[in-house]
Amino acid sequence: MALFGSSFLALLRLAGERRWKMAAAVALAVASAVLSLAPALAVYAALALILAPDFGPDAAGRLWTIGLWAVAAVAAQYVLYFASTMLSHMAAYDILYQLRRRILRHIARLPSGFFTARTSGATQKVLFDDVEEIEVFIAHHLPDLVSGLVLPGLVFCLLAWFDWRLALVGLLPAPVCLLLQARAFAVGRQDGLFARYHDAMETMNAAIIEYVRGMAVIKIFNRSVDSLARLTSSILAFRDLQCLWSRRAAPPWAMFMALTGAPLFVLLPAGLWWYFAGSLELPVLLLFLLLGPGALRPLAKVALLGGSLCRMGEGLARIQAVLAVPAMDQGQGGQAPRAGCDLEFDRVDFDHGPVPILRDISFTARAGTVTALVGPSGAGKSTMAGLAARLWDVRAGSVRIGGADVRELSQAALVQTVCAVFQDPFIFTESVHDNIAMGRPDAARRDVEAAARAARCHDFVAALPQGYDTVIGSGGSVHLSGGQRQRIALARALIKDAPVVILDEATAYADARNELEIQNALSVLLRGKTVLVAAHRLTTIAGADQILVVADGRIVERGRHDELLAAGGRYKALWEADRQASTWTIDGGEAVA
Amino acid sequence: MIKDFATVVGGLSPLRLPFALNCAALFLRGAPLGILFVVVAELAAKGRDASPARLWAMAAVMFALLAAYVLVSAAAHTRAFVTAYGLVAAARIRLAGHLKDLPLSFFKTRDPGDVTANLLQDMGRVETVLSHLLVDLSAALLLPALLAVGLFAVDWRLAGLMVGCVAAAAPLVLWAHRWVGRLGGGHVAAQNAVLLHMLEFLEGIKDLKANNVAGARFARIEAAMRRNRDLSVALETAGAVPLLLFRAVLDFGFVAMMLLAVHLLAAGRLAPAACILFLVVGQRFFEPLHLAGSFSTLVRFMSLAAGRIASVLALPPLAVRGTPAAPHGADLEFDGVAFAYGTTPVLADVGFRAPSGTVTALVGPSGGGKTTLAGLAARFWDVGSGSVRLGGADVRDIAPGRLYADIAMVFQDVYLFDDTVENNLRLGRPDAPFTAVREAAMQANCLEFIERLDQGWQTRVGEGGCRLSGGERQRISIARAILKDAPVVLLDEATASLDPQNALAVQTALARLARGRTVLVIAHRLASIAGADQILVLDGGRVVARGRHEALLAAGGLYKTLWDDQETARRWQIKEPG
Repeated sequence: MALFGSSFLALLRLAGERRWKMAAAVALAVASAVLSLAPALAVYAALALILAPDFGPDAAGRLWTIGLWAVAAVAAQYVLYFASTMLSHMAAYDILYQLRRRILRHIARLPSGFFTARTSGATQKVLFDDVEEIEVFIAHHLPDLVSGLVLPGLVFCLLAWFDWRLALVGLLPAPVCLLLQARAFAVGRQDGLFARYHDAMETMNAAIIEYVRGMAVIKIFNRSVDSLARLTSSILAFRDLQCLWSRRAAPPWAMFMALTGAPLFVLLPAGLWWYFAGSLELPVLLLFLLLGPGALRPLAKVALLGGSLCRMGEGLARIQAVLAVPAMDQGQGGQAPRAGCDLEFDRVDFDHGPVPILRDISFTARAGTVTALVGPSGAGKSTMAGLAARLWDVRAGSVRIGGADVRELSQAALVQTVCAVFQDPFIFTESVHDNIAMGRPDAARRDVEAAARAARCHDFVAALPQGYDTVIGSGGSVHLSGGQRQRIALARALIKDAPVVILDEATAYADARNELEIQNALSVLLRGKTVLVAAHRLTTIAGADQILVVADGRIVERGRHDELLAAGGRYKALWEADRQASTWTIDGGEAVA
Repeated sequence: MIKDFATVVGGLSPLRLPFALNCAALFLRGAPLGILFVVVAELAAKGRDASPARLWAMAAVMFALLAAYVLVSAAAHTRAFVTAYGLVAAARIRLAGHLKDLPLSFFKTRDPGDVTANLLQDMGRVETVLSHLLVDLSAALLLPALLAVGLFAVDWRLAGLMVGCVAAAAPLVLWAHRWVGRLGGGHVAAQNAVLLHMLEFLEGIKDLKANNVAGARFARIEAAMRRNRDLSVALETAGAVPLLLFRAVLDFGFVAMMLLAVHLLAAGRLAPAACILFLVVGQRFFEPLHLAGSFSTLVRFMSLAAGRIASVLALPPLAVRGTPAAPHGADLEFDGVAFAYGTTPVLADVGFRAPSGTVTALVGPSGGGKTTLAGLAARFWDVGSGSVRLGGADVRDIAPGRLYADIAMVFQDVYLFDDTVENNLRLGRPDAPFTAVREAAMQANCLEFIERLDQGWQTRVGEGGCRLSGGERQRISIARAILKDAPVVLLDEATASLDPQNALAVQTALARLARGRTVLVIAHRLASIAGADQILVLDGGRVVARGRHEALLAAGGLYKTLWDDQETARRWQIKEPG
């Protein structure tokens, strides 16, 4: 119940002004439930007339009146119910929409560390599934819940007004019902069945995901039989727990369901008793027989809501956890200088959670020069590039551009100053034009084309079915190769023309022709810029103005290529490995070149 | 509608027993109402002169029936659940078994999320139908049917009115079914659009932020979300209107029956007891039918899930074509091979022979068909025309298990299982002694990093191998190929994204793997395959040139252009030394 209360309050907060729509939907649902009693009352009224000793032809007209009232009540009941359903669904889907909007906007302001720490699948689950669960609750369960609780109460009051003794008797099965219901639910607590059930389900889910994702490997290694056996055992283990649960829970549950209809069986003997004792009229007895047996049935609905409520509570907690992640503050600073931008790292420390990533990083990348970061993967090169683009904030020290701390620049100013080109650029499902114009949304087609030409995209774009209006990306009809995607990203960067360029050396998987095109585009992009490049291949950065060798989160060597080579330290070792890697041949000989 | 469920679980006959039990339970639930009739008739006829003893006996019988009902219904429920869970578990296993026999192209062309959804959520829906909804639905239909029989015996006019009313209302449920079927598909499409936009937003957030356009992106997602919202409301309305009308018609039927009963009574053409019976039992007749309307619409909705599963089950598995053949030796031959993805031709007239123990390199611009060609050798796809032969036998005639025993693969996207390093490696040869596993790891330059992991060989690598770096994953995949020791090796030589030391480690491992085998290598850096026995230059799906490095270089053409490009690229510098 505590869970219910807190989830419910959280839900109301999230619902915002739509809570009035929700309230109206609930009120209408209750009104409709009240009207649903009308046919039974009409039957009572009709019976009272018929069984009255003075029943005659003149009473027939009154019977018709009763009938018409019943018809009107039924019509009204459905109109109200329809209105309630519409209102609750509109409110629910609107809350979903607003909530997703809010989460998305919040997420956009989070440091990138948030996205590397969790899979996009997990975030998507919050945005989609967890939010969706709220819909089910608001649209379907909330009105059911309220009318499910109100209706039995109302019926009891009504019946008590006719005959309080019989009404109390009708309540007799209720405690037994509640007890059985509690027992059906308590099954989960018995020897940890609930936890075991969920573990088994998660094991099965993981086994299924792995089976599907790893299918290529499974087949190549002829492991289909083993993997299927493992998957099978997880499916069967889950089934066994499901069955165990049913064997324990089904009997009390079936009894509960049977007993919700049981008031008839206590009402009839008690009613007969009092009837024969002369203290109960026949129409009243019949009214009890009409209304009594169904009175407890809505409880069954309420019982089924437990699971939904639990899931919604858990989902809400995850949603609130995302919303509670502190967003990066936007700096208030104005325009950064358009030219002459030095990039400075000043005693920068950075951690991912408790894991230290960078320690005491200091260097200055003078305007118009190239600074290269080299070192083994995982040394912190990409993190340094990310800090310069303010994908994260430093833990200590500062990153400055043109003398201003990046945390003090407004997002717009920062983005105008710094342009980052990452290893695996993301292409959105939209036109080529829009994908490129992302760097400068107000760009005209002319500018986009010019950037595309400079980035060596124009030829392949022009060959697409709708040219620049062709929709690319995973949801589009045209799929680009890795090299083509990288060139689109370069066009994006070119159209932006920011004075500082952060580059994650980006020629993975490209074939020779693509690589050459990318290099040409890069040459255009980098001309005269302040460049910070995380390099994999050392030959490309041999001419850099400054090379920083990064290892275990520290700068261990710095200087120009010749100096570092002469010093004979880590850089020399890397250089040797690079030379060997690039002359390697598959048959073990030396390359011709 | 029910047919798809039957297809998914391979027949519904095991549900007969729970169904029969359920019928018995329903009979026990309906019977007390018959007794109630007798009681009421007695009371109506004789008033307080009725015989109490007789009535008490009736009450006792009713109690007995109630007790029997509780017992039988508990048994019916348990039986239904257990049977449904068993059926669905078997169906999951059957679907999984079917999946493993499908060509790998199935997994390449379909979102893995869709396939897992078939096994998880869609199966879950089928389970709900079999365990809960079918039982509930049959109860909601049978009980009124049972009552109708009894009511007809008492008064055919009133019973006829009730049944006629149900018949009039029934088309409304079919109308709801049609809406659900029609809008259900559109709704799924709208939801998928939202999911796509969300995922793109999340995965592309770095690019969005780097361009300060995260805000502009909202307009698009929000438009998709609004569409989804409006369609959802439309779907609910479309389903709700006919269902509510259905229920309203039933309620009006009840009121009409009541009016007719009272009218007949007033006209003296109906016994008071019968009138009371109809008024009381009439409600029991209509109540379950309300539920039947919603349940059956829900079953219709869930049958969409069953249909999705059935469509996967209907896909033909990768089978051995004619008489099974076994490869003799490890020569790989392509003979006049053509292949198309749908209607897009990818390869045309590809013919070559890769003799056992030699290296054949595939080079050419991206999109030229290199990866597809390698995939055909492993029968990821089947050729459109021509044939691929291994050791003289058409790969389509070789049992898939036998074929894969002869082929090892190392590709760019390495998938590791969330298991220990040792088990991931052992995949190559599960019964290998540890010394052989260790030797393979050493050959693949894995030993050093494996022994540095906190739990060494027993370290779990995480989902997809996420706890290892790209280079480490690649080396593990080479090690398991070495351990497998298959005569044919298909590999993708891509090390550009690795730092030099990692790249070198991967390369030396690859060289050890290639030694003495038939190798088909997709080459990116031409220098690395300069010593290959045979180089095939692929462009636009055709082999445009072939030969050894020197000959191709001397001949000019595409290979020479590629080579020159690469040499220029290799010398390129971000900044010329100045």
